[in-house]
Amino acid sequence: MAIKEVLTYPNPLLKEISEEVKEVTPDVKDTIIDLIDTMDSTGHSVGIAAPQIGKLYRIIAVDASKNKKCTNHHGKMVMINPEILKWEGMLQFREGCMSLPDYTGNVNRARKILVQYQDEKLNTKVIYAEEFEAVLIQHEIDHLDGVLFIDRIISKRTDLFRRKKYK
Amino acid sequence: MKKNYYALTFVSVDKPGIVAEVTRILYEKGFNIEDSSSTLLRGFFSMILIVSHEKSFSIEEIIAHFDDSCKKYDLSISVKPIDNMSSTTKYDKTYIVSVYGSDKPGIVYKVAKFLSEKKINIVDLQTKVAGKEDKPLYIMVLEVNVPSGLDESWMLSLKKISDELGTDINVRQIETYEF
Repeated sequence: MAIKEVLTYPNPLLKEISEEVKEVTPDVKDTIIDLIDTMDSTGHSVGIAAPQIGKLYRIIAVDASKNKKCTNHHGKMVMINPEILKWEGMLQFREGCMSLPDYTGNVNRARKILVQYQDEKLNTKVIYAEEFEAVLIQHEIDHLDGVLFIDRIISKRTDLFRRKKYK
Repeated sequence: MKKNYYALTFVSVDKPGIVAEVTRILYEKGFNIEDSSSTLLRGFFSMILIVSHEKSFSIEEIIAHFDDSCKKYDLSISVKPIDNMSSTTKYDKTYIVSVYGSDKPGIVYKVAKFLSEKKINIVDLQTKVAGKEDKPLYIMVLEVNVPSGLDESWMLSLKKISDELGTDINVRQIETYEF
């Protein structure tokens, strides 16, 4: 199919809520191929969500194996209607996003997640993802709800505050 | 379109309305805020802004724009024209360094001197005195960029300096990922 242009904010599509996929129409099939082509074409891209290429479907593609430091992962996956069923623990990465170039921010995410999704044949699957892969999936699922990492930033600066004195 | 850049700093006893006042003048005079950082230091509100304008102004002209505001809010102002916007050097890794312990003179200087000798760049630095008045606790948090090729022994050397100062130190790498 095609390598698509990754939309950048303030494109309004990035703030929309994407629709659940109920059947694999030709357009859904094309979107899946485009997502993978676009992700594979950028050397550093480890994940992409359909709204980033202008399609408001609840579909993400991830490939944590592209991060050499990540050893615990499920490789390349297309996840349709992904949903986090359970989460535990917290960790913080400094995240950037192809749709918000030249800016990074510290974001807290769950360390381990139980995710339910459907594969390309709409078979339901459930997996545990941890650490880098878990953060990646959470970041991409956020795109399906119009949430950008800026919405989740804790502080651009190191958090260090004097405690208020209460008289 | 060539832009002219200026660094402006404002310091004043904290009260509501300072940001609104400063940014109103900038907006009305056609300045664009390129980058800024403001924080409260011991009850003093401190603003640093990099602003741009298509016209060129003298330092005096810019200060004159803020004459009334400075009187009204008891603001002190300084202006510095910036000739060239420096490009950021490519660094390899980013670390957060926390140094904390009993307050004594020289903590910031000794840590900063070491980092400077190693060509490690400080991109953010915050210090606070906390704890009780008779037992002040000094806290310093730095974000540093380490040049490519520097081996990790700098962390051990820094730990040694911290031990000499009688402070505790924690160094952790910040992983940045573009998703």
